Amino acid sequence: MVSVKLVNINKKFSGTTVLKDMNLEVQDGEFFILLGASGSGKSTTLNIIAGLEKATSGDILFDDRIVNKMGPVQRGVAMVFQDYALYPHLTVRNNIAFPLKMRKASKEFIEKKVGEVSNVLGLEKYLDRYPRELSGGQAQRVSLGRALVRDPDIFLLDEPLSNLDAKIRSQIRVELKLIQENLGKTFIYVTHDQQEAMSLGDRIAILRHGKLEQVGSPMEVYKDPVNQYVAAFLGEPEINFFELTRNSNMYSSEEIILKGIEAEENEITAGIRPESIKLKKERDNDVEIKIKIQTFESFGSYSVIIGKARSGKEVRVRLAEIPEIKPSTEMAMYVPLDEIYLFGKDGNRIGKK
Amino acid sequence: MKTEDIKITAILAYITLIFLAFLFIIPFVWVFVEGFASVGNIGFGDFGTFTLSSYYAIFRSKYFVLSIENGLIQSFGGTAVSIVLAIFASYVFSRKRFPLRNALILTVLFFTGFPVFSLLIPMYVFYQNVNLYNTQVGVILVLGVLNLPITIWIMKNSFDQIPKSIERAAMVDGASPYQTIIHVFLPLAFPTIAVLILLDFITNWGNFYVPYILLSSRHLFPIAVYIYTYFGAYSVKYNELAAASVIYMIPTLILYIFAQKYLIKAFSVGGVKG
Repeated sequence: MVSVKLVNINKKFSGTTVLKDMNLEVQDGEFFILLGASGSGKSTTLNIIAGLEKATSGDILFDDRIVNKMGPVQRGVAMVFQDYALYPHLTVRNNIAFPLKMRKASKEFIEKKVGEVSNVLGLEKYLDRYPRELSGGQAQRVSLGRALVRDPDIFLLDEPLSNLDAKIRSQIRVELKLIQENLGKTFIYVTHDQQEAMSLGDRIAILRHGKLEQVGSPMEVYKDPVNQYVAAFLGEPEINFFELTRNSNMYSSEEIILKGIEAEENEITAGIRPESIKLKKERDNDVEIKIKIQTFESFGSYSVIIGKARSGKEVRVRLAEIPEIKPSTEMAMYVPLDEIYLFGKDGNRIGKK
Repeated sequence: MKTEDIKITAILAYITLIFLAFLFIIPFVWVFVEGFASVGNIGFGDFGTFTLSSYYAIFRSKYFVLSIENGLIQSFGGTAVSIVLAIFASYVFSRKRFPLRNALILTVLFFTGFPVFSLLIPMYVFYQNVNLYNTQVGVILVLGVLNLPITIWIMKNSFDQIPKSIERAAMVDGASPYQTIIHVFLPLAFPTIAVLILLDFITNWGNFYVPYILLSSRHLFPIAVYIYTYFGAYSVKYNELAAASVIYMIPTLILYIFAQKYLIKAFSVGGVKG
């Protein structure tokens, strides 16, 4: 049972700053996601928490205990890697047993533990195989087993699903969530996949260029992004942005006109999520946008219209129903005013509560 | 036209290769035949009748038997010194970052091409002063150190191919650097290490100058030096010399057979995949 706290963590690699003043608090028993594009410093953060890398400055606290100088073992962390990092010369059984063998546990204990873990992960059949004889999904289960067998306080997962194909990925994603709920232990999970982040996390931290952009529950960060980057990072299909300029008492662009908005800047950006765009006008102050349909993709339960606004800008609209529309017709669509996000020139959200 | 051209080149190539093969094989044939011959001679003359008497004669000499033993002790001893030291040095070079790392690696590379003989005379003087002259340990240490640079160089490259994440996994799993070397690096680099053992052994087994200069007592001579003593002051017993040479080749052959599968692995498998 451990909470993790990063206080003013800085990390520099020969001159380049990888992490800048990182402050982060992960609560005990939480499924915490570090989300970011490549180069955002999310893996470095994880390695610093693991004790595999040292921070240039700042403190790492596990339950108010400073662990800066401790190695991974003393910190009691287990880790799962993107490329599984199984020992190729050992069987599945010995791979799972490895951490216990390093701890010089008794043979009976190792046997019992390996049995338990392989049972949980459904690996009994594969115990005598070598890693090269396993599929990606099985290999990642073994890697998970190697973490589970030690009963660590914290699980660190570094993009564990990235190398798997889509079907196995969603399957193991569910398994992971269930394992975490059963164990009630702290999981810190690194990913660049916003879907994974949204579906797994109790809370998500979004990183960009070594800086923390926002932390919150999946719905909080989705519904209430602090800036343009976070808004663009979350959501599928991606949010539509329009650049507006002040025109006496309203803001307008070639595509849309916004009235009754409080903002100080002359140039702002409006962000409209694809699912906020509706086919019918529901309220008087709904914002109208004219879209020329180009094509649409149907996913069964929903469809995505890809169209062009008057300015030639591509706009994506996500609809629950599959509409009867013909390509290259122009349609008027409507967006509720309160579902439009406004960002200033610096990218920060205007009027965020 | 074209296919004929290729044929002619192929034929020419084969002729050249066969000719070269002959050149290399002739000494082996001579050594083998001469060892069983009743008449001692140079070249392919009259070999007399088939006999085992040369082998019988050499094995009757206490010093010859001892020289095999010495040869094995010194060669394996030197190999052990090189391999053990190289394992730790290669791990550090491959995995740790420290000041002057590159300079040191290049120094190691420089010493792989260093002429042995230039070191031997100062070594001789030094050994006389520290009482290592004319001892097995003295020879073992020099042989071990001579092979060290190339051994480190090759082993470091094979350690470099072990993925970083596997090393990190071992670290997280609670393995100390020492345990990581024993349980992860050695098994994964084993094909290369097997080949290095073979190469180091062969180099040591064939090393003549080191024991010749650093040893003076006959009972310490390894077989490489001992064979030289067949060139006596008055006459050379060629058939005994040949028999001893055949015995001299055996350990190398045995090791080759053992290391064969690793030789293929070490040179064909590029790295370790999970």
